[in-house]
Amino acid sequence: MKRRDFLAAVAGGVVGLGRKGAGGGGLIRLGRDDSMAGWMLIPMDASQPQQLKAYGVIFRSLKAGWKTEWLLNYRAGSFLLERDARTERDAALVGVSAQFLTDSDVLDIRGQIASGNMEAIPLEKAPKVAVYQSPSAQPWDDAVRIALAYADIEHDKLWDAEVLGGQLKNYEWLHLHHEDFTGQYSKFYLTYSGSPWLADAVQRNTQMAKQWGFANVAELKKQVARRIRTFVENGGFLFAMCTATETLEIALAAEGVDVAAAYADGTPPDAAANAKLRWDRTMAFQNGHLELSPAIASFSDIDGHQVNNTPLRQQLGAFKLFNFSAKIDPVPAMLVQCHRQIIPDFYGLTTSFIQSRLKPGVTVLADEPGAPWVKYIHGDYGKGTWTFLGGHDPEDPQHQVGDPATDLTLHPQSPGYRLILNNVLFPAAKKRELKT
Amino acid sequence: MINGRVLRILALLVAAGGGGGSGAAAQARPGAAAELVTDALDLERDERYPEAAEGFRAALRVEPSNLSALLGLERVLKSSRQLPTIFPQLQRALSRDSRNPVLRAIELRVWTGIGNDDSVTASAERWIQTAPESPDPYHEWAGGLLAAGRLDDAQRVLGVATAKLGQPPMLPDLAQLAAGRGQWVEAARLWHTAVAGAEQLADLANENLTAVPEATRPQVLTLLSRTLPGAAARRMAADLELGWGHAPQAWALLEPAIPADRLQAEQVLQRFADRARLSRSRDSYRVRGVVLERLAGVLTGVASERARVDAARAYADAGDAVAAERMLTRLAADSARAPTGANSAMVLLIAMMADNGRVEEAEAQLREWSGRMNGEDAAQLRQRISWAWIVKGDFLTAKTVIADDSSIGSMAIRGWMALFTGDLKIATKNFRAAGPGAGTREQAVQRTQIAGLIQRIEPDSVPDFGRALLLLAQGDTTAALTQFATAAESLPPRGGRADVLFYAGQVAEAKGDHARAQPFLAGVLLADPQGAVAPVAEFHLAQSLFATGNAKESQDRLEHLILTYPQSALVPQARRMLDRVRGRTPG
Repeated sequence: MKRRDFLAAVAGGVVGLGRKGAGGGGLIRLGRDDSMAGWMLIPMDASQPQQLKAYGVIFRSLKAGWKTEWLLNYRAGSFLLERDARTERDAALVGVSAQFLTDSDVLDIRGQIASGNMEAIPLEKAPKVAVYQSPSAQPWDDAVRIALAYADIEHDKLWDAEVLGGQLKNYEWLHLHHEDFTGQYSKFYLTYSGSPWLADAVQRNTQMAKQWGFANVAELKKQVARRIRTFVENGGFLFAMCTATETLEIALAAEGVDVAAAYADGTPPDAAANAKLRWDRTMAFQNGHLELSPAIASFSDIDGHQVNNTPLRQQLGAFKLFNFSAKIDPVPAMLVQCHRQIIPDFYGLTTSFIQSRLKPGVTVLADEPGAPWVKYIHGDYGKGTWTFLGGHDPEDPQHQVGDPATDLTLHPQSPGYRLILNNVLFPAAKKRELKT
Repeated sequence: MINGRVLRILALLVAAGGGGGSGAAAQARPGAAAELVTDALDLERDERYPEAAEGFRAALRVEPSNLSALLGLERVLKSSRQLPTIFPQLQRALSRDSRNPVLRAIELRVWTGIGNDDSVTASAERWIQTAPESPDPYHEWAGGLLAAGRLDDAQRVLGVATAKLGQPPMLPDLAQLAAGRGQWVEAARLWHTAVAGAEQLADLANENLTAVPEATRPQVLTLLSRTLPGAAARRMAADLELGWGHAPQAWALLEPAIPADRLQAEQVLQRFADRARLSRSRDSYRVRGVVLERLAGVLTGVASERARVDAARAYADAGDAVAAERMLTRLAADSARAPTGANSAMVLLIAMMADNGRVEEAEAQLREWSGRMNGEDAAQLRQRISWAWIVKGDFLTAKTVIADDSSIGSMAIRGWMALFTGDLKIATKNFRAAGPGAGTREQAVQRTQIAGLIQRIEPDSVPDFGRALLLLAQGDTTAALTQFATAAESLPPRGGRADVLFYAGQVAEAKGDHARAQPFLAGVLLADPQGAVAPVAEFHLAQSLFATGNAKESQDRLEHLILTYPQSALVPQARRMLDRVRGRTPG
């Protein structure tokens, strides 16, 4: 045996004793001998060809019981983990680029992290993920489900029966997308009258309300909203996008107030509804004014862009992620890890949030400089946290009903979708004593 | 380098008064401006924009309000990103004819191109002031905003226009606005109203609505074919279906909506037939044939015969020999009386006869018509007939038919004959001699592929392989595949076996016979797992397994491919397919 081969074999053995499975795969080869390298770095900067899939690799690695460190602000939020054959194989299969590092390489990185606006956050356990979605909804009409499917992150689907039946306690992370918690079918009732998908939604929701003993769908949804709030209060992580953000809050504020159009609950909304809303019951917003016209697919003045309210509709711009201190504010820093700081905006039924409607204490994660609205917000509620991202689909800025699904193989480095996946991994770090 | 056209412009300028100054126009000889414009247009066509601009400017010095020159100047300056420099000429023209809508439109477009909103508005308002009853300023203004994607601004302009002039003149703009917003059903409704008032808008409407996303098409079609009344709406629906590549459905919509008036019917059918030609699918060729046959019935005399020949050609393109023959029966009997163009239809017909195995009939027709055909057509038909004899297994007659032919086309045929007898060396020699120019592009590609394959086969003579290819040419895929398996068995694993197995696998796949394709493709990996064809075969195998509902095995194959052949160019495609197999991406 040559000396070099002998040394490599010995080093592999030592590493193998210390780290289960290390060096076993050898599926990714750099231009150097990496048999001494016991660490795997998944860079998340522009050099990573499969940024979205990288989150899936990390999630599955956590699920398999391995530990990972999320290197905030180091090469756009890279991941560092001990080498194991399974993760290497997984990364190679999905095309995630990885680099193998020696202990001294890792020491060097830690030195850089210690001296800059960076931090290494240990990720310990893959969260149990649930997505709230109607059984008839297409998986491809929800950006989060598209992201979860593309990154291959295991998740369950829940709807009203499961939420009311108390199943939320089995999950750590819940996602809401374009559900309308005011029970008005996204106010598409008049525009899309006669469409099969709308008829199906009406039938399913009405049936569900009946089954659970609610007078109408609006009341059913308000109760579901309250259960979701309780989930957060008890320590859950809530991530909502599009209409779910605004309507969840309106449903919480509208307890005991009729805010739904006559087509939805048989009676016109309370003319004095705005004055009766209880914003002390909400998590993120305050003092919103409702759009009570059934013909305008807009819910309130919380949304800055008013995509379907022509006179008030605003053009899309771009939003900017805030640069938080990774050591002092690791939570918001985790949520904004991205290889791009400026991201093109995208419409949704709720696209953005007017700044003056945010409650004090809400952390703004991204805004459009100079505009009165913000895009991405976060806050604590009880023992849990919530994060809201406006808009429907980061890679389909003008999304319309019936548009084809977004194919993420065409956007493997999508910065907007990265924000979604930051949220999925964020609860994995929660067990550590965080500073905010 | 100064060429003749530039010199001519200079000469004309001198003749017109020294190339500048206010006296130029007064001293210009008649027709000088027109000549300058013609030369400038030539320069524009050659993409020599700076010189073309000088030419147009020269014409404008002679005739300041020459619209062709000014429009030309606008085009070339836009192409060379010098649009703002048009103002001296434009202002001069406007000072002479401030009410001219073409000049006003240029002014508005120039400001829009520069992107100065205030000036765009001011210019539009000036135009509106000079022509308060005209919709043109609003068309141009809103059009610029729509093109820039500024839909809300366009809507504001159209709102003002509609309030002043009513909705009808603004319907095309409103329809385009609705389309821009993705409100396709509304766009279709507006276009229908617009076309009902002005039939000439049909093409514009069709162009705009062809972009309707697939998911929304059923709603648009329901609106046009059921909800809205009248034949015009059905014809719009037919137009759209045709544009979306659904020729049979389009014809089903159009047929009951053909106008009763003969002249109108003729126009409608001719337009539809012309558009059907653009799709280049078998379906659309067949529909074109049907439409032209109907048109032949509407027309009379020579025009009718010509339509019949066109119909025959369309049927032939669609592969429908029976219908093509039906159209040509009268002509075939008497070639001397056939109208112009009939011989080209007969070329197709004879070729189809040969392809369908009616070789003797094809030869008889060729004898009747060859006198009216050009030499190249006749030679190609002889080659086609020779090929038909080969397929029948009569190599001797095949050779006789092309005995005097030394063209590259005949070399290709000789190559195939050698190949079918298993003589790979002679086949390669003849294919080389034929080169890539013989026959159609498709035939050239096929020949190149097979030449590449036989180069990787070590023995010079493999009769089993030749028999397999002949069986394939005769359409007996089942027997051919069995013969390929025998041939592969006789070859060294890395000396052609893997390649022949892969070829056979592809043949089976192309026939949709996955059950037979899979063992061939798996055989490649056994024969030569390190060979260049192995990852390709494994990818095809994974596709075939997935197509037959075996997702798990397909996934295993893809994973094996990605991990075993990480340097293969197929890896990104394999990853993409792996996502699909695992249900991670739509489709």
